Amino acid sequence: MMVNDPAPPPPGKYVVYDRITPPLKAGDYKLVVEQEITSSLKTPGGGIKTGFRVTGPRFKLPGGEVHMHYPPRDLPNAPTYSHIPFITLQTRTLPWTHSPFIGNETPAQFGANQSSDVSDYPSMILLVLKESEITNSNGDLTIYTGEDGDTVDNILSTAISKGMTVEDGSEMVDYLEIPDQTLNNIVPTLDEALLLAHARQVNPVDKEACGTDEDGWFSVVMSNRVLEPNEQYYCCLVSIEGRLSEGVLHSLGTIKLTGSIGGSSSKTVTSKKLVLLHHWKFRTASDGGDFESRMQNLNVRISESGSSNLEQGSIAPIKELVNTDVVVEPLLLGNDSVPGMTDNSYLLTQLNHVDGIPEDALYRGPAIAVPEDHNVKTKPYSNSDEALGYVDELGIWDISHSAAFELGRLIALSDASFTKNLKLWIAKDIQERKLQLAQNNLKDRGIALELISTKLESISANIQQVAVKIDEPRLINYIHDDYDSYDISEIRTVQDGGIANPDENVDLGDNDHGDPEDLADPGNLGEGSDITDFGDDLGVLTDSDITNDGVSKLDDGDFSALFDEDEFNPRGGGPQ
Amino acid sequence: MILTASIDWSSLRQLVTNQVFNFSSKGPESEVKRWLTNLRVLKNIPFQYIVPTEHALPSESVRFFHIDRNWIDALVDGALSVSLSTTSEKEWILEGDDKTRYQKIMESLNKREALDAGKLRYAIRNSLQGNTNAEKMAENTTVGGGLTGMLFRSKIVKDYPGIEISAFNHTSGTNPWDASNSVQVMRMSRLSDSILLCIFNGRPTHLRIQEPSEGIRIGLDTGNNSGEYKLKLKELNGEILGPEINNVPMRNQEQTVVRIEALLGQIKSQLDSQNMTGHENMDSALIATQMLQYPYQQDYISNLPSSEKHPSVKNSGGDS
Repeated sequence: MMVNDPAPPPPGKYVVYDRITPPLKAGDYKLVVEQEITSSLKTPGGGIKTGFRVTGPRFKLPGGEVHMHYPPRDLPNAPTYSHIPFITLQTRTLPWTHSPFIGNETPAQFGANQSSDVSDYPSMILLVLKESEITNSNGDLTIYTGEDGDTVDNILSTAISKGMTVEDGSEMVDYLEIPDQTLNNIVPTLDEALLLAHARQVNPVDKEACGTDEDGWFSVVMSNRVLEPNEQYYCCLVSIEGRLSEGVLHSLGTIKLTGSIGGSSSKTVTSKKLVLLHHWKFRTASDGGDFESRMQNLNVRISESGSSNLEQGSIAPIKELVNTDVVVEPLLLGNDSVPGMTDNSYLLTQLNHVDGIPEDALYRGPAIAVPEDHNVKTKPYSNSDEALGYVDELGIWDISHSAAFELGRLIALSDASFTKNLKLWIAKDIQERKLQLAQNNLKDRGIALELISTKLESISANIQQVAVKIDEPRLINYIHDDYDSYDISEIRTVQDGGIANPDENVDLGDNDHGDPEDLADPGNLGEGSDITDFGDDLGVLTDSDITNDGVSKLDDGDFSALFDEDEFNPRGGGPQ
Repeated sequence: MILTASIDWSSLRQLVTNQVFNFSSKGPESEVKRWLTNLRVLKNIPFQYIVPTEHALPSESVRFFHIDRNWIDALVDGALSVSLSTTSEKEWILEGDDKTRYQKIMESLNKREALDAGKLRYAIRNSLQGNTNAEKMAENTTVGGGLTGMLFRSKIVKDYPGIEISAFNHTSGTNPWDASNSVQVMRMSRLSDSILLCIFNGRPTHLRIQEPSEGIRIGLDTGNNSGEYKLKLKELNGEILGPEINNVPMRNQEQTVVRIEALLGQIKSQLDSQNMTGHENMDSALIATQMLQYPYQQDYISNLPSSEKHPSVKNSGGDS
């Protein structure tokens, strides 16, 4: 912030300035300091001569310089007619950092009527172009960026020949190629260009407006063109520095021709190349008009004409009613202004019976023109027939609620997740209720729940003991869903009167794998662990291997006595 | 003033839902109630069930309505019926002493529809503003009362995403548009490209449809005839003065190009005729100020008390 900056406006407000010109335009300057000493002593006066250069973004905008675009980039439905595109830049002086004039050129030379200072004119303008206006005969867009760009020397050859100085003529820059006639049609005059750039100051606290900018100052370059509906537009911020003599601004006089556009030689169109500082595109909405005009074009029916000439009952757009004493009919959904509908929103329709014979019926949806009392039911309709209504005075069915019931049912049935959750919820509730009833029943009989619980735990421990004896991971997996996280040694220690000490293992017979260390050396495998004992397929246990140990003491009858197979593995399929 | 922040609304909505209303439970009961809540604000309902004939909602129209809660109850009954087939299930829905389970479910849905579907909008806004009173606001929400709604069928819906609709019930105070009169918007969503549905928790007397207020823009107003433009004169502080420039000068060669310099001349001349001062030495700042475009508001005002059964609606419009 400069020392003499005005205080920022209150948050939510901003101040508009015609322009903020830099103290020095970009360019090379010579600093001369002279010292004159008036003294009787003949001491020579001192002095310094040095050069310096003021620079600013000239052919490219640095990253982050663009604060925002309007309409936003790639917007698919920008409002038409009333809104004019503009670009907001972070640097408050940027449009005026460079001068559009070179050498001794003056504004009057290019038709300017304003009495403005030479330094007031911006060196950039914002062109708003339809896609068709910058598409050549090959169907290609004539915006060239990156490697497709051109050198400064090529684009500014005329300006350079007239005295414009550039640091590096071989620098590649982006450019827009535009037919002269198109350019002349839309480009502002020099005086208009001056009016299309301004500066703004917002309160830095107003983060919404200020974004990442710290000082709250911005410059804005507006276009001069309103937007038509259903068009793809390109907004191009172009530099006009040194180009005035080439006729890049609007002129009613002759246009200097500098080149050609398009790949077809059948029709040559003269064009200009303009340094492209920045560009973005968007598409306008299919319908014209701004929000206000379109809202006011909504139709209403006149209820009371008031002092207007509008007829009662006629249809008129809202715009004809603003600031009048006209009253419009209730804008209610489904009243008797709709053909075939009653004033309380019933529509005559037909009900097809099972035998195929149609019958007149009334229907109305959930959105109705009149308020309806809510009859809170204590139980739901069991079926759609129960929800059927009958209008005695008319002798006609009212299928509204019946239709709603069927619809609700159909939507629910089409959603597997909902039906599953509903069933789970109800089943869980019913199960809990049954459990509660059972507990209450047992209590009534004087049976202590604690005792039953202890017995059940004892049965569970016996089951685990059997499982440990088998020591077949697959089987334990069936007992405990989460086998991976289960510690077998814990099973053993919890057995009541069984394996109190994990080291005192149950004899596991031939399937004893011995100490873990043994596994490192096959030669040290425990007794009966010879690999050749495992059948023909190396490492694969056979049925006979399993039945050679304690498991053989159990028969199917033992299993069935212990488990209900269905409950054994709730995911389906018990131990095989 | 442009909103530049990018907000991930989906994750924020989830966050606020979970934190403010503690609806993070994923049990079957919670899921069922969430589903039914959506159903009750007419989500997933085929449009022809809501508006049975196209004549009731012609294109480029606004229509207001009351919601028949009895119809909604029948809809929910139908959904519940898919799992009320066995004797024990039928007994389950009728369990209860003073109230049946069915009644309790419906009361629970009343609460959820007001909090889950509606208050969320306010909670998100308040959460962004650091307002921790969202829960308190939720407590004060009307539950189970009469619902109303609005259907807006227009290409405006497509062309102006982010359109703002606010409803008010003027029961006290001099300013009907005061936030204290605000009626909760329970649902606002596009049913199709051009149809917008709003459901209000109550019966508004005043309704405002506002252009998306992403920012103040620069431009003109559409004129009375095609291809014509007008400009509302503003004071130097940006406030609307009243008089208009009815035929903004456009270039002959290209009718979409504004003759900015000629427009400036007309603006200065009109301001002079209004005895305004201070603009004499202004140029581009004056153009920028005069071409400011504010978000437009279209107001709908009932001309009958809210207790009347058939509220008429009177239109008024104008800039804010």
